Amino acid sequence: MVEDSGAQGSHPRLRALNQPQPVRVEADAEGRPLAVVLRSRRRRVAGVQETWRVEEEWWRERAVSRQYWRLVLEDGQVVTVFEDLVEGGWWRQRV
Amino acid sequence: MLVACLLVPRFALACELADRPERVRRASALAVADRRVVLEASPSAARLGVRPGQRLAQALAHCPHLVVLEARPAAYERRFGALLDAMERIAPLVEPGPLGVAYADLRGLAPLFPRLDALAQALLACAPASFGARLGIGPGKFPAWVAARRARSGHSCVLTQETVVTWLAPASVDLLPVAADIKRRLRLLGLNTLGDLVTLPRAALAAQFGPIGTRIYELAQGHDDDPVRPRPKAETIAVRASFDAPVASREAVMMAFERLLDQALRAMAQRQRAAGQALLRAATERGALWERVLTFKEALSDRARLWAAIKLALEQAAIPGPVAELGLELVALTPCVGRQETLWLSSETRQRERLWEALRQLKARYGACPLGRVVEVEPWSRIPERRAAILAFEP
Repeated sequence: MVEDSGAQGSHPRLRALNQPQPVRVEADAEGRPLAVVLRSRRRRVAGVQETWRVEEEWWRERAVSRQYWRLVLEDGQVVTVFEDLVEGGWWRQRV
Repeated sequence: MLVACLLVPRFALACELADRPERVRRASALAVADRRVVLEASPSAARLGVRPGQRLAQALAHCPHLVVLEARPAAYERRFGALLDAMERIAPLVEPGPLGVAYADLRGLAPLFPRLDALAQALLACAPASFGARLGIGPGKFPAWVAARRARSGHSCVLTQETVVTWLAPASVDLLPVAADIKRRLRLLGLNTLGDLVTLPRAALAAQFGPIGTRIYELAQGHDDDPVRPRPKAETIAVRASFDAPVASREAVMMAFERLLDQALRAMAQRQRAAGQALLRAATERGALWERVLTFKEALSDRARLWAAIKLALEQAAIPGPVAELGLELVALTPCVGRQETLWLSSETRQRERLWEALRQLKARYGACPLGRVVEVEPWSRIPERRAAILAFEP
């Protein structure tokens, strides 16, 4: 069998910065976040500062479709979370 | 002289079939095209009138449902190189022909392979089974090639000195490795097969065509004294990098190349070599390849001068899409020539050397340097994790 000819050298990688972290979010039937669990503590959503949709890379096998929410929690903390509309699940990310 | 010819018909298509099976198997008619010209066509496409060398528009007019794959010459060359490497592990003298054709000198292999069919099987196994390689063995390169053309896919055809003339007789003169004009003249003279040539005296062909006539006569007789010329062995240093997500930013690509250059230079310094050429390669996520060969006026081992040349090439590069993989090869390596360094170091140089020494010690302690360099990848991206990345820093 033919072996890979480019045998020499290692494979350095570019590691992405600001990868999203999984987070527990309670949402209503319409997908609006009601509470966020941070450090094992449930914090109620006091208000929504902003929400936006990101639809990107639909031409790739793994398209990106996210609904972002910038939330003000009951203790005044501001967090940005998004719902992955392709694979499901909630994620926290600095934006 | 016993020579084997390994032939992979439609080599580019065979590579595509191996690399992109899901796309290729679905297509009923397939072509590989480069710069709007068909390079190779599948048998089904050929039946509908698609021919190599045809303009793509013309080919699509013949066959509207033709699936066209963008040619990836570098990928084919790499696969062909791997095939030659595999053959060289069996026979030491291997000569590359056109893409998909390789000759091996079989002299001296009898102690290793007492049976010719075992040797033939070993050579056929040098190509992946999906390539449908054919093998011809004959008393010279030309008869071996003709035998390979006639062999069935995955099988071999062996011609001996006794059978070669009768076996070659029905073959067309179009197979002769001579100029098209000579073939046309042969046809005008009513000489359509190699058998027709054998009936003529050697002198007649020599009188008509000069030295080429003599060669034609010898080839028709199954004599080909042209030796198998092994490819020159070039010492190279090859390094590669891949990205988690394809990168469209030129700055990130340049940073990664700079990092690859550092890696390659370390290997080159260990061998005390200087590079005469650098081969830059970038593969996009769709498999398209950008390649550039830089030839230096003198062999270089100096980082600043190498980077200046590579940087300039990258600034002018038209890379055909977001990059998924990069490769850098330093080739034409020669022994390092001594260079006069400055005796007095500036404070900045001393500071940099101290910093690098500290980083080297960190690397020695942790196995890998824990520092990284943040580079902007796609600062405009709406996906936050695509905007910047950490590039591992190697002291």
